[in-house]
Amino acid sequence: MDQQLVERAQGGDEAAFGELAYAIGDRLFTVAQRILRDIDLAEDATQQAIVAIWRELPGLRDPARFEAWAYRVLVNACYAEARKERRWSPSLRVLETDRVGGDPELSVADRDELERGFRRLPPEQRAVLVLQHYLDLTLPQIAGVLGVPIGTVRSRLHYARRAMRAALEADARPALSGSRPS
Amino acid sequence: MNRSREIDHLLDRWMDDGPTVVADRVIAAALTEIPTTRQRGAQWARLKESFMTMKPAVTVLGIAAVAVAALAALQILAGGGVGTPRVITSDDLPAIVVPADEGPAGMQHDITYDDERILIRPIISVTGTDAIPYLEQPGFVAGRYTEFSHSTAGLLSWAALFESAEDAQRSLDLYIEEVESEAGYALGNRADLTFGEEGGFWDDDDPENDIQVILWRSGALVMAAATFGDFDPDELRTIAEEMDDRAQ
Repeated sequence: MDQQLVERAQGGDEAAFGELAYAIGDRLFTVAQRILRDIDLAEDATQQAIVAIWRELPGLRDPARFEAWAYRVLVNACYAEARKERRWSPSLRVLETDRVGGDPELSVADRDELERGFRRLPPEQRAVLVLQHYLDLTLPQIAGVLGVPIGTVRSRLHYARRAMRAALEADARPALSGSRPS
Repeated sequence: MNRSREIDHLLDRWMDDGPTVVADRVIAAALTEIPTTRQRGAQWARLKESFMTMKPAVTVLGIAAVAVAALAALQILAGGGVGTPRVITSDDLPAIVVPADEGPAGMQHDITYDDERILIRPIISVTGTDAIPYLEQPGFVAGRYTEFSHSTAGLLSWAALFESAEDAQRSLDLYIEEVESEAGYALGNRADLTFGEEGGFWDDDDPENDIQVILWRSGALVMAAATFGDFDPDELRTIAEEMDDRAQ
């Protein structure tokens, strides 16, 4: 990310911020979509996050950390969307979303089980899974993005993985599990 | 491939699915709000920036001068007479929180902080400039924070020293609000403590939460011991009592 652009935006330069928003918009949205599993909610969270990033930008001490900080703002926007939308949108809509560019090596059964297991997780646990498995961040990086201790990240990952494993095992049936790698 | 690695592999592939491009209208809609959205804390940021870019020697001298003045004031106020409580200084803090090499059995030491970040470390309800009331608490002198964990639980040990018991009480109230509020930890059950002058032991019935917090004040010192995950509440209480003993 262009540090000078960040510094100009911090100083109130709206044009510079516009460039920043377009530069980071795709990444914010894709992370939000993975956490919220809903395109409409993800678009709302992205929009809220961009406005919040502008509002809070002068408080960012180190412009070189802009991207990680922006993810933190986004994750908080996702939490807010998740709380507003207490009931997640129907599975059918999400499955349609996932067909776009879907990995042919993932079976329909795997996707369905992952989707259902993931939807049962609280947003805080979803976020750590997305930061680890989608953005490939390390535990200290996740802790830095979320602004929580590393131990908290470990704990959230532990519970999230346990819940996902339970979901996959509970839903596993001989006819479907045969398609998974062993 | 074992089950754990298999799940990691499935999650990696599954997360790669899905849209990768945001609709232009989303960014455009956000940008229409920018001209009417005021940036917060610009003045504060400039002040912080000037502080952060001071030459280290100047900063250290400045901090030392403030610390000496605060200590002198404390000693004058305490009277220094026989029988008065020991005056806690920032030098005592490393021995008051759980030291890095004395964590609970089986837990590894993750991190230690001893700067102003300790003030916002326990705060999860606000970010950015909304955190300023926590970061700039009146009378704050020094703090120390250590963190330990293993795969199923973690322990946080925290202490913040203030110039006076009044400042410490104000701070304690802030953190209690964080522990109890919906936006914070939302811990509903509060039990009394047998040590400290004010404080409590909070936990919750929610199995997803799994957080226990002991937060208390002893003189001008606010302390906390907290755990998440699978941790014996009696052990946590013992850890907190030992912290309090070391602060006497």
